[in-house]
Parts: sequence; structure tokens; C-alpha cells
Amino acid sequence: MKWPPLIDTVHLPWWVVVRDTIATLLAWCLLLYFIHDMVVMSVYWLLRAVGIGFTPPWAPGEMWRDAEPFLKVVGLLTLWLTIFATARWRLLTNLQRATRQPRPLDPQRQAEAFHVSAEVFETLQDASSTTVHGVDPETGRGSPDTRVAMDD
Amino acid sequence: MNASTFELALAVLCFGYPYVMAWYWIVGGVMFQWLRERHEPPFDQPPALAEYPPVSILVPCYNESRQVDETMMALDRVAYPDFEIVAIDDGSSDDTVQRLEQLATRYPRLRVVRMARNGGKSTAMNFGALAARHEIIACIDGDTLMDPHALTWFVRRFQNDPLIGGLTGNPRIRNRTTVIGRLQVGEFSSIIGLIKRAQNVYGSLFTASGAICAYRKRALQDAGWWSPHTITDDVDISWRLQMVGWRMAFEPKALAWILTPETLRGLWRQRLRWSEGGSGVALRAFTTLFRSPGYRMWPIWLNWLVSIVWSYAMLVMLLAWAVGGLQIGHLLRLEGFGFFPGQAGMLLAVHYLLQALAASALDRKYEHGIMRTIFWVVWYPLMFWVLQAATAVIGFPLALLRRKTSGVWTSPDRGFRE
Repeated sequence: MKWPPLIDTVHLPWWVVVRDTIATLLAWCLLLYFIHDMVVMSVYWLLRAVGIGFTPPWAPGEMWRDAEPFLKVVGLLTLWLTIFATARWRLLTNLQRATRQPRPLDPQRQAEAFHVSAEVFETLQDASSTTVHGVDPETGRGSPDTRVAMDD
Repeated sequence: MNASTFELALAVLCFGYPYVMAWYWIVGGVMFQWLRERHEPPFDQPPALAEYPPVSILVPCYNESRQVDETMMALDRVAYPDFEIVAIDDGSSDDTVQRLEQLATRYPRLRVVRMARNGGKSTAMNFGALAARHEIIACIDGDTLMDPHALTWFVRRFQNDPLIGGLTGNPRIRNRTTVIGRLQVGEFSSIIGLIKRAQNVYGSLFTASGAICAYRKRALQDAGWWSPHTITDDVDISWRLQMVGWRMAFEPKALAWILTPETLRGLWRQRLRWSEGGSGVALRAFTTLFRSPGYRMWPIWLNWLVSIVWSYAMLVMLLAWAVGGLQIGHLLRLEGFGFFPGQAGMLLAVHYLLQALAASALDRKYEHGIMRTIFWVVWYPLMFWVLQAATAVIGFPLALLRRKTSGVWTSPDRGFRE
């Protein structure tokens, strides 16, 4: 068995692959066109640092001014995450095996929760192939009519 | 609130939510990496465990005749000493059950439970859990290929923290033949992977991935097992389990390879189901949020609420854009805020790409060559988010109006394979 089990473009006609690639390249061009002012603005800041200036697409600092309130919210949420990370530090960083584990579920309780008889439960647990009849469609659980037939 | 204040609030929400959340998820993802992932061995070299408790793997199947051979072949490669496979055929109309019976002769670990009538995935899972002999149960879909080491990582995480009742694994996309498939490879990392990491930092998850997850039976019993009255069983059980006090965690090294839709129709149906199911669970959970230990789900619930409000705000913006002759920025007196990006749109697009880059960097140790998928994520900021927002807009009223869910399966689109 091939692993990882990727299903790639070998199954497809070549023109589909070419079409998708060209369409995605065009999508990148479109995106770059939409954000070209931002690229120009980045160049403006870079050149300004070495003393070269040109007229930017919008006033310097305008984007920062608009984004600042949102960045404050980001700061608050980062603080929120940091508080949780600090409070849960041990849980998040601990990779050791715990000394105690919860007790397993009592099978009797599970059978009761599903309203199935001990006989139905035992058959389901023991058989390698079974068919379940008479499930209550409303609750998705057992009913007095539920029975299990062994197929093996 | 006058009209201009409303317009401003709308614009702030439309821009602010994805902008703030992009940073939040990146920060959360990096924190999780720094606190936990960086100390861990590679996913394909799990450390030896002091104890290997037996595990039951549940595989619910409905019309999986084409997939189930591969699924069992992958399970046969699982590198864990003691496990059983319980495949549950939920009244398939194809020959799934016959395939399973044949496979059971080849794989002695496989046991088959056949539901005489189709009752839905939750019912199938419940009866699979009844048949399961062991306390820890791992769950995969009928078309999921489990990584050989996933079980070891699940068990190790349970052994690490006795308060964890459920774990979600790390689903990876198998089919990447078309733009839609390839885009989802990046999306599963940049949106889903990052969100799970960030949520793990504060200790509550919106959902386990139904395609690869694991539970303690005891936690499922406390939560009331899987409910047939939900269309997203994984979201529902995750919420109920956490709201009775158990923790859930993300185990990124428990990998599984899944099939995703590769047609727009298939993708739309899948995302609409996710949206409607998620909204239904969040709505039903509301009253429980006010009682301990339900408090812990407030951050998740509020995030869900804001995402729904955001989707409706985007709808209003798009309508206003259309009505205003493609001049929404002018209409809202907020220059630069247009459907075609002004400064705000530019910032969002750049931040989405930054988010995809950060997520791919975090996931590159799990999937060789994932950085190449960045090429395809360009569709997300351009178009794909519209589908996400639209499914939320439609899914929410569907969840409100839906009275009772019948537990019946529909076979999903599984992409192009031949």
C-alpha cells in the first residue's frame, strides 16, 4: 500500500491539470493586482529608510492608524491566551505518564444506558459477526424488542 | 443607533473579525507549538509506552463497498500491539456487509456488527461501542485511512492526562486532484489545524474530527453517548462531553488520511451540513453554559456567535455593494472598504496568506511538501470564504427551524479517484 496514500493528478486528463494551474496562476495575478498598492507602500517604507522618497498610494501611517484598534483587540486576545497558557502550563507542557487513570466504565452500566438486556450485550461483545434488530429509531438505543443474531 | 453608526459597526465587524481571528489563531498555534509540539518526537517515531492497554477501533460504514478494503488494509498496518476493529454496517444498500464479512476472514482483528435497519451514524456508533470490548475507543470513518502510529499517540495522550475524555486527531486530505481538493489541503491546516491548536491552549475544543478521534467509554457514558438527533455527531458529542466536565485535546500526531469533496456541489453540501450541525449544537448548548462546568464553553460559544453575525454582516455588505453600484466604501463612508479590496481588503488578503504560511510551517513535520500547497490557497481570500460565509448564513436558520433530525446517512462526495 502506497504511503502516504495520496491521490494526485495522475488520474486526471492533462488538460484539467493545465487548466487548474493556469487558473490558479491567474488568481495569483489578480490577488497581486488587488494588493499592489500595499506592495508599493512596502517599497516606499524601504526606500524611505535609505533616504529615497516618492509619492505613496496613500498617506504614510494611514493603514497603521486604521488597523491600530484591531491590533489592540489582538493584544487583548493574546493576553487572554497567555493567561490560559500560564494557568495550564503544567498540563500543556507535561509529557509524562500520569500516575492514575480513571476507572473503566462498568459494562453493566453501559448496557443499562442502552436499554439492552444482558444477553444482547454479551452476544454483541462475544460474537465476531452479529446483526442487530429492533433498535428504537427515536432514541437510537435498544428497546424491549431489541435482539441480536449471531452471523458466525 | 443611527444609520451611520450602524454602517460603521457593520464595516468594523466585517473587517475586524477575520483580521483579529487570523492573528489570534496564529498566536495560539505558535503557543501550542512552543509549549507542546516542539518537545515531542516525530509522529512516525512514537516513544515506547510503559503499558499498551487494548483499544477498540470503531468504523461505521454506510455504502462503503468501494472504500472499505483500503480502510481495513490501512488498519492492518497499525503499529499497536493490542486492538480490535469493530466495523458497523448501518443497513447499507450496496454490498458493504458482504465485503466486511469477507475481510473478516482475512483480518482476524475485525468484527462486524450489522444494523438490520439504517438508523444513522450515531446509532451505528452507539451499537459499535456496545460491541467494543475495551475502555478506549478510537473512531474513524469508513473511508478514512488511519496512520500506523495514530493509536499509540492517542493512548499516550490519554495516559498523560486522566482528565481528558476525548481526543481529536489530525485529518489530512488524500485527494488533491483538482483545485477544490488542493485548496482544502491548505485550508485544513490554515483554518482547522490552527484553530484546534489555539483552542487547545485554553482547553476547550469546538469539535473533534469525526474522521479521526478517540474517547474513553466512561466519558461517553457521562456525556450520554452519541445522539441520533444531530446532523454533526462529532460536534455534538464534543460539546456534551466537555459540558459534563471532561477535557478534550488535540493530538496532531494522530494522523489519518481522508477523502473530501472535489465538486462545488459536494463541498457545498458538506459545509452546509457542518454549519447547520454546528449551529444546532451551539443553540442547544446555550442554557447549559450558565451551569458549571458548562462555563468553559463560553469562549467557543461566543466565537461561534460572532462568526454567525459576521456572516450576516458580510451578506448585508455584499447586498449594499450590489445596490450601491459596486461602491460600498463610498456608501458606508469608509473609503477603502470595498468588496474589491481597498486597504481593508488588502490587509485581510495578506493576513490570510500569512495565516496559511504560518499553519503550513507548523504542519510541515506531518506532511512532506505541504508548503507547496500555499500555491492553491490563493482561492481562499479570493472566493472560497464566500462559500463558508454563505453556508453559515443558510445553515443557521436551518438549525433554528429544524425540529428533529432523522438518523439517516447520505453518502458524501469523495472526490475524483479514477
